[in-house]
Amino acid sequence: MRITVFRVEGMHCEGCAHAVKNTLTSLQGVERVMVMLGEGKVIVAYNPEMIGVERIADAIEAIGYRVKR
Amino acid sequence: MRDMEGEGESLRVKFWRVEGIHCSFCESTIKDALSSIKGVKDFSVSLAHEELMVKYDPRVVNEDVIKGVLSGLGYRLLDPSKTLDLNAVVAGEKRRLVASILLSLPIGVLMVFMRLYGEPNLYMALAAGLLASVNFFLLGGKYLVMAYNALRRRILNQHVLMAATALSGLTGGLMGLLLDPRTFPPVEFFGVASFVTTYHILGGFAGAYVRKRSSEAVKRLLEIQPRVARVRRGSEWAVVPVDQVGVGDLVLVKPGERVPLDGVVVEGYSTVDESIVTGESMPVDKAPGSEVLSGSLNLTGYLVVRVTRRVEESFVARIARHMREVRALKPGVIQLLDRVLGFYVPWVFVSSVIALLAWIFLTLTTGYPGVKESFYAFTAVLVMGYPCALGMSVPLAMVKGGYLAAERGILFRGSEAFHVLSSDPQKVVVAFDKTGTLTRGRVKVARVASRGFLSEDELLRLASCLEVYSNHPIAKAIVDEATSKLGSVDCGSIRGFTEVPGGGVSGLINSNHVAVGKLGFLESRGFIVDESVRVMAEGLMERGFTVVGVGVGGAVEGLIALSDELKDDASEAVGELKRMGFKVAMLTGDSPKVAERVARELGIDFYMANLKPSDKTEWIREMRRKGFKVVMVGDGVNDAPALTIADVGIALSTGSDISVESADVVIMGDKVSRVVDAIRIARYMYKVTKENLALAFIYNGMGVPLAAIGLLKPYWAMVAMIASVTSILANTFARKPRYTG
Repeated sequence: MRITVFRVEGMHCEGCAHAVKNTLTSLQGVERVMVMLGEGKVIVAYNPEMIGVERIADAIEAIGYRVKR
Repeated sequence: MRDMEGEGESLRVKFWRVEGIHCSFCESTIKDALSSIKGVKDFSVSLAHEELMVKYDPRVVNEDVIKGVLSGLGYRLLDPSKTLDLNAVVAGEKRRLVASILLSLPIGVLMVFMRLYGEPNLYMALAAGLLASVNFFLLGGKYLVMAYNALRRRILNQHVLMAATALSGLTGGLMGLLLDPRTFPPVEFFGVASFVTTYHILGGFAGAYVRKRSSEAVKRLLEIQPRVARVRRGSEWAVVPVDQVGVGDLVLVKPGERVPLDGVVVEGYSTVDESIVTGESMPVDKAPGSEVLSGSLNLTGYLVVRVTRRVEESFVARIARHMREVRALKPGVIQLLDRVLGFYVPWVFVSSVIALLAWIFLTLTTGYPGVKESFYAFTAVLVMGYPCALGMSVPLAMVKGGYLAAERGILFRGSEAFHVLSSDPQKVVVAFDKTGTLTRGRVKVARVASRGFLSEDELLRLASCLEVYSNHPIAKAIVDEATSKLGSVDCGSIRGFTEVPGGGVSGLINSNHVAVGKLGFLESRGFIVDESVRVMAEGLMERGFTVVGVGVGGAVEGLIALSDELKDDASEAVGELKRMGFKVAMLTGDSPKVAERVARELGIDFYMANLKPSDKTEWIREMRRKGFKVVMVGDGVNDAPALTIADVGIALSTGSDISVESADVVIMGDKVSRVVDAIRIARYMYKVTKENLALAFIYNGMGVPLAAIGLLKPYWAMVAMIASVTSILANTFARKPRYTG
């Protein structure tokens, strides 16, 4: 398992945090998601053999938030 | 009603809401009236909140007498629990103002017309008289009643001044109509009467508007307490309003919900964030037997709580009640305006009477200038007397100060802040709350310590691999630290994760047994705690850190120390305030060890820990008794009473709504260094306010003696009005602000 932090722009409310969390949790290979709302960080624990950083970042951007890569 | 404790005699204390307070001067009117009642031992009036506290001897005087005296002055005393619809009041005052302006405007037009084209005819004068009379008697009627009531108590306030000016304007106009339009120009006299009424109504509207804004604190406070609770009825959980929940009922609280009522946990484990309620910086673990407080936020697990207090007695309700008491006790700052009016009003009246007597004496002895002219001098003095710019001088300074402040994310909610913050810094204590004000109010990894076998990064990595599965705030802090420091964290395979609420987490990382948690928990899981590790842990805890151990294989290999991190600008703010000469203190509900460390790091000489909200207010009262002014800076619900009772309350907007509502100054965002900016702007604006007041009085003030010797016609009252308003505008807006340094 690997833990990676993503810096996400545009997450301003609890609702946004929920949206990001739900989207990522539904991805195959993602085990845990922690959102640090105040700092715009999303910490994801995932199985690197099943999913990569790019796929996770794409999923966040697909619902309208920018990821600093 | 309750008896005051610690009094030898049995005095009663009673709180009322006062209807009819409109200006800072009403405060002294009420004070004068109350002082004259036998048996009233002590009292305090809060203008901003329309509240009154009276301490009296029930053997000498009763409630009805006090009520009677104040109602005679035009103030009604109401039960504080009954709420007044302030929106309706403001709307009513606004209608009154608009109607008054519509009546005054035509007279103004008529006056300009008259200046340009000479003598008005009788009909114009009659029309002006009619408009002015309607304006004064109908729209300004309530001020006439107040003036009458004040006079009966021999109190000279601004209502009396206004009524005297308007009535002499009307009388002068009437004399002009009936006797001699040359000595008594009717349109001018009527104009003064009408304009003065309109300006006074404007003041009433502004007062109502300010009051509406400053009265919503308690309402907001009660909103953090949930209105409904999930209560066990038979074998089911029923959702019922909190006031129908009794002591002994079982209540279910899900993660993410606020605890509805005070109680004791009977089932379940969770972590509860009490920071907004008590000021405790670290979330607190709850297990069966733990006490929980209404308003605190349940974070991680389900809790079943046995209710121990009904809603009226709950923690939040008690704070709300406490706030109502301290609000009434806050003595209104004696405003500059009051002091000036205290001299000014009698001076106008004495001048007019002297003018009348002197002119009549002259007429009797020399036959010149005549009785009619003597009476003219008398009315002319009175119409010059009311300084129309008075009502604008303070609000304008506030508008400008507010604008300067807003550019820096600071909001001033009242003029009292300007006054207090301008006092001698040596006599002012700036008291900071700790959690959320000087610190971020969020747990952060402060140090990682290894006993020497594994690197610190490795300890952090292993801990984060397990903690990522936990919802505990400490777990979040550890994962955050690990990912920030190491970038991606590789864990390999993780199996057998378990979490013990209030203890810690454990699992297998690449088949190695790893656990993170309290040392007692680690020992119970079979990890050996070396003596060196134990000493290290005790040292860290002694310095106010929260400590967890990291067990790897069979022993605890290191420690992670966590704390509520200081804000970047906290030290700068404290240092700057000390340089400016202010005394700086810290008040916190947190433990003495944490308080000591934070105070030392920031260079704060005085701090107090383990404080309840009522302890904070008591400390502030004590400082005030010693002659200090207290500026309180805070953010939490637990700070709200302190923010209210302090001479100036400064709240950070990142805190609870309730603290923001109770504060005189609000700082947007979480930058604590803006407190320094707020103080500098306040000091600058107080200077402008003083200048504005001087400008408001100077034209009318000079006009009074000139009118007394017969040199000024009534229209000079208008000139003075325009001159004072213009110079106040110029002084406030047309100069470069200098307030830094």
